[in-house]
Amino acid sequence: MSYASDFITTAKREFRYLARREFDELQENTVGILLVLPLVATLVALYLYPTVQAIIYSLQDISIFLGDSEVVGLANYIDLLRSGTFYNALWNGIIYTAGSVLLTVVVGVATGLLLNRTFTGERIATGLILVPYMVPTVAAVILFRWMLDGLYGVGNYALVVSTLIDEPIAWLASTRFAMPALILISGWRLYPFVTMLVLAKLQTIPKSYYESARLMGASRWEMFRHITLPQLRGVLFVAILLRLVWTFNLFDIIWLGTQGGPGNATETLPIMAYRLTFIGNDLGEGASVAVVTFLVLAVIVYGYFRLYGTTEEPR
Amino acid sequence: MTSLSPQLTQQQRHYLERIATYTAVIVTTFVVLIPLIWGFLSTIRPSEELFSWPPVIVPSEVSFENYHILFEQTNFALYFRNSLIVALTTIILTLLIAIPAAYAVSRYEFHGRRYIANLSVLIYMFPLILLGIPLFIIFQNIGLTNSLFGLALAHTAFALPFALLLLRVFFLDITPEIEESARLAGASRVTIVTKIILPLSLPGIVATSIFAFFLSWNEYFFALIILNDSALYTLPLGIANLIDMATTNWGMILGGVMIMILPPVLFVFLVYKHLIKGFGVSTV
Repeated sequence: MSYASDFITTAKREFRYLARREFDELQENTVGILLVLPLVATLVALYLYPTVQAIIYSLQDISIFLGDSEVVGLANYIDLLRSGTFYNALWNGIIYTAGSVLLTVVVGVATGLLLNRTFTGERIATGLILVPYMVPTVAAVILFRWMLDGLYGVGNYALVVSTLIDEPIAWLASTRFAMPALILISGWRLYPFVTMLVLAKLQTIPKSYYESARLMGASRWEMFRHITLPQLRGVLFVAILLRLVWTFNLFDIIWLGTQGGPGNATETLPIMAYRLTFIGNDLGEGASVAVVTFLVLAVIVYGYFRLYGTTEEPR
Repeated sequence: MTSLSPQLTQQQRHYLERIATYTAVIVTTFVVLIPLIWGFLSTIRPSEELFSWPPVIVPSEVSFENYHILFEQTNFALYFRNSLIVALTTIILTLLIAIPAAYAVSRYEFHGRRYIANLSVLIYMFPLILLGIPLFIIFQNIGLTNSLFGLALAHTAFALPFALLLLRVFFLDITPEIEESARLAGASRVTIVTKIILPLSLPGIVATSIFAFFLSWNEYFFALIILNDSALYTLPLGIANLIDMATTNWGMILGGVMIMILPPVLFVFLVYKHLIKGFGVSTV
């Protein structure tokens, strides 16, 4: 027994040693490819393959339970482009994205500038101002649902007291106010992303720029306008690009906040795709909405690059 | 505030500026934390105070009854456990796959290296929904729906591109000379990685783990698609489900929210020192 186990241990050691030597003698090219193989395999299996699969489903008349399917070509897409719900979702997505990105960028830049000043307790303040980014989406949405509650929401109370509104509003249940409320939630949850990027960049601007500007008699506004903003250009380009993409694709805040309602008032393309697939059980139509979401996004990103990407390379 | 007229001395101006900065910092910090403060206050006050108009700001008495109910009468503890399992599995899988790849990309010359590095940017453009719909079918076919491992796998796929970028930055920070001298001293490739690269890039590995944890702990969409059985719900699904079941008990639901927020925040504060120290490790 003990001989056997000794033998196995030795054999194992021997094998490991040989394997190591073998590994050391491989070509650099081979080692490199071996090491990235698990990553590539995972990404192919969980990104590329599903995407191809989604495109195939979108060309079929097929339910989520699979069963009988029929290839219908572009019929799903044609139906989609003829339906009003599609344009409603597209428009909602544009409004939601524009509103959220604007809010996150404005608050993110403002907080970034503020935290870049020198004051006691910088680290604590920075940590606290970044906290919303660590709050899970579900938690953020529930906190706001409670504050914006139509009957007992403290947010409503504050607005009534400050006479901005006459009576409490059930924000998330209102056709008119649900979208602004969702934008507010997204803004609160996501502005620290911009804050972090802006703050990191601000700390690399040489102090001497401002000193020479001051010597030349520049005002604060002029310094901000001609030194800070141009320096932030690169980082803002990236921040807006990423936020644009992520917000347009965003599902959880809207689904948890309103499920796209009331009616279709806050339904965006990802929500529509989910609803068609998993509630309507129409895999073909749902997949076609998902594919179109990607195409619309590609167009938006292309336009963004054409508009702002030419003068300076994104970093 | 008075206007900054030219008559103000340098001293006065400086003083005013200080006041302005501190006021702005305090007000901003307070405003962005209002949802959390209000949420917490709502969990510790008597329930009749939750439903009063005008709202009571300061709780008349402090009680932790809501937290008690949460653990006694709901499956909250189970959701917490499930979330923890998925997050830890995600961290392990992510590190196992991303470390070798990031190392290869930062050190070895091989065909297609450039594409791997640029892949991540492209991948984050993918709408989640475009992946989620077919992944549901694929996972169903291979029995990974209603499985915590299946969910962790989806989270890993989602964490990988960024993990690759992050680890690569840390690996690139280690000067190749160290490896060169180790190689001259006869160290094998494996030894170089386990004895030199991994210890030196520990802060990067910690950062990547934190990122993977955040992602998994927070993730709602894949959980919604993959998990049907309520015994397998992770926190995001479980808490969202409490709302549907018990709309009126906001105190209890917010208690769950507070507990869910705690780990990510604590996590960062706990390793903060380690992170800072790690960045200071000299590689000479």
